[in-house]
Amino acid sequence: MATIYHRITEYIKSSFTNRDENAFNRLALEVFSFQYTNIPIYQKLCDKRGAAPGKVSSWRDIPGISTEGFKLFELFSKPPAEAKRIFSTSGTTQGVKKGRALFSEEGLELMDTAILENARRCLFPDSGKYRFLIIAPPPEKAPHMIMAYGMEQLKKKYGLPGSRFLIGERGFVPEELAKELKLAEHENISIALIGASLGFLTFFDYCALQGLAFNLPAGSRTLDAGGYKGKEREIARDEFLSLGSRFLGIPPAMSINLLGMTELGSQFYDNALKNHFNGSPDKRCKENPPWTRTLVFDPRTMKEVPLGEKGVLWHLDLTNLERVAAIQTDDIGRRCEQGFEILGRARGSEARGCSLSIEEITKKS
Amino acid sequence: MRELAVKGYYLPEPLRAEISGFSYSVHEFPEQDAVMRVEFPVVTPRFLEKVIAFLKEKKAYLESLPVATIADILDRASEQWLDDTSPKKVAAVEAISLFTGFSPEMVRESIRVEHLSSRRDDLLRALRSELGDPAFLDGFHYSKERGCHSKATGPELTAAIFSSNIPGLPHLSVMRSFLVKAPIMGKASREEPIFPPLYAETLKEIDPELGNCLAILSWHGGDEEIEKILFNHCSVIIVYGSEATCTSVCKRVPPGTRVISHSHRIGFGAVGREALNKKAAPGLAQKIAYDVSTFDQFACISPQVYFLEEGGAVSPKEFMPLLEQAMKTQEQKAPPARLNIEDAAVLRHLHNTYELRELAGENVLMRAAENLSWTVVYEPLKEFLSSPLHRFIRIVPLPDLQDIVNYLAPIKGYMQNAGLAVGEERRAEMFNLFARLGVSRICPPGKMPTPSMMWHHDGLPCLGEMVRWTDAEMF
Repeated sequence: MATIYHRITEYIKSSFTNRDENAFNRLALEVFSFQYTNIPIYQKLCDKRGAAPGKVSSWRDIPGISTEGFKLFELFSKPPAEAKRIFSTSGTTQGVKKGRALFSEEGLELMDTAILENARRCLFPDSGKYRFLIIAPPPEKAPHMIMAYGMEQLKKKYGLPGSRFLIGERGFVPEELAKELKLAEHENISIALIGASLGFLTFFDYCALQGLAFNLPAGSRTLDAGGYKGKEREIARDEFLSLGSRFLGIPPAMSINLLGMTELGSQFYDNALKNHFNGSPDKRCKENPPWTRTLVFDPRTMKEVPLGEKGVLWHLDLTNLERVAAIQTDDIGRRCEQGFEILGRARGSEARGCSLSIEEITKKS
Repeated sequence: MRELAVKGYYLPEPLRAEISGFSYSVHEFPEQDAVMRVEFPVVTPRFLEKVIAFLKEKKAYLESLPVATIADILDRASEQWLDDTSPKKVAAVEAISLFTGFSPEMVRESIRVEHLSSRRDDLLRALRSELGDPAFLDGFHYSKERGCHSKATGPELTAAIFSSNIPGLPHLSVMRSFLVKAPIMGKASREEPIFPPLYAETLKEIDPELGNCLAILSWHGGDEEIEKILFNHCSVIIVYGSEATCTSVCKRVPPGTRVISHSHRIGFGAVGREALNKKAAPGLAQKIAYDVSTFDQFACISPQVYFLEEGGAVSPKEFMPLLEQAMKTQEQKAPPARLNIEDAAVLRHLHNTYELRELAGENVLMRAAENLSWTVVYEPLKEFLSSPLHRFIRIVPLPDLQDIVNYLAPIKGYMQNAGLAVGEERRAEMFNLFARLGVSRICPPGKMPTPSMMWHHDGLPCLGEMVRWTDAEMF
C-alpha cells in the first residue's frame, strides 16, 4: 500500500483537475490521526479540546495549533535526526523565539510537489519559461528561509539561463536590478520578477528618485511575498499595482502577491494572473490550492464568521503532514467567494487610552 | 433599530450664530442594532478666532466670582452627574456605552468614581494643597511664609485636548481651569465626543454665565493650522494623549507656553508575603480584580501586572483561584467592554499560547473566561510585559519583593500608579523605591482606580502649574 506521503502527493497532482471533497476529507482525517499519534503536544491539545481520531468526522473540526506552537516546540512527527531541512520564521519582535518548521527528505518532496503544482496553476498558467530575477538571498546563503527555498524550486523548473538571486553580501542593490531589467528589455526576454514585497518598494522608490521607468517585455510578471511585517512602511495592494505598472510596465493582472508562512508547506497565491488567462472576471483574492482549506473564525467565539466578515484565519494544509496540518493564526482576514483576503496582523490595543505599551517605549528609545 | 443623534460640541449661545456649517460622522453598530450620528461644527480658522476672542472676554466674569462660589457650582455639577436617575446621565450612559464599547455599568462606574472625588471639599483641599490658600486666587492675600501679599492668576484662556479612554474624565480639566479662573477651550476626542458637551450643558444650567466660559469643539487631531491658532492664544495647554501627541504639541507651542502633558503611563501592583495570609487573601483578590476590571484597564492608573511575593501562607499560585473567582464577580457587576476583532485576535492568540505552554508542562497557569471577558495568568516573567488590556492581568511571583526593581528599572519614568500591600515596617523602603522610579501614586489594592482630587496627577501640581504669582513686598 502506498504511504500516506504518496497518497497526498497523488492527490496534489490530480486535485486541480479532479476536485474531490470526499477524498480531501478522508486524507485530512488520516493526516489528523497520524499527527495525533506522532506529535505528543498536539495530542494533548486535541484531548483538551475533546477531539480525537474517530471523534472527528469533518476536516472543519480538526483543532488548529497556534502559530506560537512552532516557536515553543519542535512540532515534528519523526525523530529529530530525520530532519533534513529546518526553516525558521524571521522573528518580528524583540526577544521572541523563532518558529521552526522541520522537514524530512520525504516531507521536502511533498512540499516541492505542492510548490510546483501551485505555481503551474497560479503563476505560470501560460506555461512558458522566464528569466527569474529574485529579490531574495540564494538558498545557500539563507538555508533557513523558506521563501528562498521555494523560489529556487520555481527557478529550477521555469527559469531561463541568466536567472539569478539579487540579495547578496551588500543586501539588495536596486542598481543591479535596474541593470538586469534594461538588459531584458534590450534582449526582449520575459521576466519573472519575484521576491520580497519590501524589496519591490525599495526598487520603486529608487526608480522614482532616478526617474527610471521600464517597459518589460510581454509576458513578464511579478510575484511579491512577505508583506510588510514589523516594518513601518506599508502600502495598499492597489498602490503596489499602480507602482508596478508605472515603473515596470507590468499590467495589474500580471502582478500577484503570495501569502507564505514558514509554518505552512503550501502557499496562497492571488488568483488574478490565473483569472486573467482563464478570462475569469472574479475579484482578486487569495485562492486555496485544493489540498488546503482556510476558515475564518470570530476570535471572540471561535465560530466561523459569515462570508465577507472579518476574523482570524485558520489554515489546513495536507503538505504539513510531518508538522501540524491545522494552524490557527492571528492574521486578520475575511472569506470571499473564491478564497480569502488577508487584512493584517493582530496588533492589539494601540495603546488606546493612557495605558502605555512596552512596545511604545522601546520604539521611542 | 435605535437611532441616536448626538452633539459632539458645546458652544456658548452667542457663538452658535457663527457656525458656518456642520459635519457629521455616522457610526453603525450592527451587533447592537443601532446607528449614531454625531454632529460637529466645521472649525475654520476664522470661526476658532471668534470663539477664542469670546472666551477670553469671559475671563473677567470668572475673576469676579469668589473661588468658593466656583467650587460650589462645580460641586453641584458633580452631584448631578452622580445621580443615576438624571435624564442627562441616563442618555450619556447609553450613548457613551454604544460609542466607546464600554458596558453601561462601566460607564456609570467610571462617571461615579470621577465625580465622587470632585466635590466641594476635594476641590478646595486640592487648591490648598497646591497654592497654600484658595484665597490667593480671589485677590492679594497675606502669606506668612513669604511675608508679603500675593495673588495667583490663572491664564487668560486654557486649551485642553481631551482623551477618549475614560468616560467622565474630561471634566477634570474644565474644573482645574475654572478653579484658577480661566476660561477653557476644549478639543473633544473623535473617539468620545459625547461626555464633554453634556458636562458643559450641566454647568450652563447651574450658572448660565459660567456656561459662556467654555467651548468644546472637535477637529482631526494634529490639524496644524487650527491648532496653531489655539496654541498661540493659550498660555496653558492641557494634553491627554499618546507620547507622540504630547511631543507633537510641545514642539508646536510658542516659547513660554506651559504644556501640562498626561501621556500614556503604566500601572502595576505589588503584594508582600505578609499580606498573603489565608484570612486576607479572598478580600485582596476582590480588590485586585476591581483594580484590573475598572476602566477595562484603559486608564494609566490601571495595573498591567501584579507582583506577588512568595513565602506567604498563600502562594502566588494558590492565589490564582481566588483571583479567578473575583474576576467573575467583577464581570457580573460591570461587564467588560465590547471587543473588536483586532483586540480579540490578540487575546485569543495569547490564550492559545498559554494553553499550549501549560500543556507542555511549563510553569505557567492561565485562568480565563472562554469569551475573553477576563484573563488571569500566573507567569514567572523575566522582564516587565505590558498587558493587551481588556482585563488581562499577569501575576508575577517574586522570591523577594525587592526584586521588583529589575522589572521596573527599564520602564523608569513611565510608571504612574502602584497598588501596594505590605506590612507597616516595609512601607518606607517600598515608597522610596517607587519614588526613585518615578511612580506618582501609591495606594492600597482596590483603590487604584480612585485617586483623589489632591493627587499629583502625573507627579505634577496640576493646579499650581496653571497659575502665575504676583508678590507685593511693600507692606
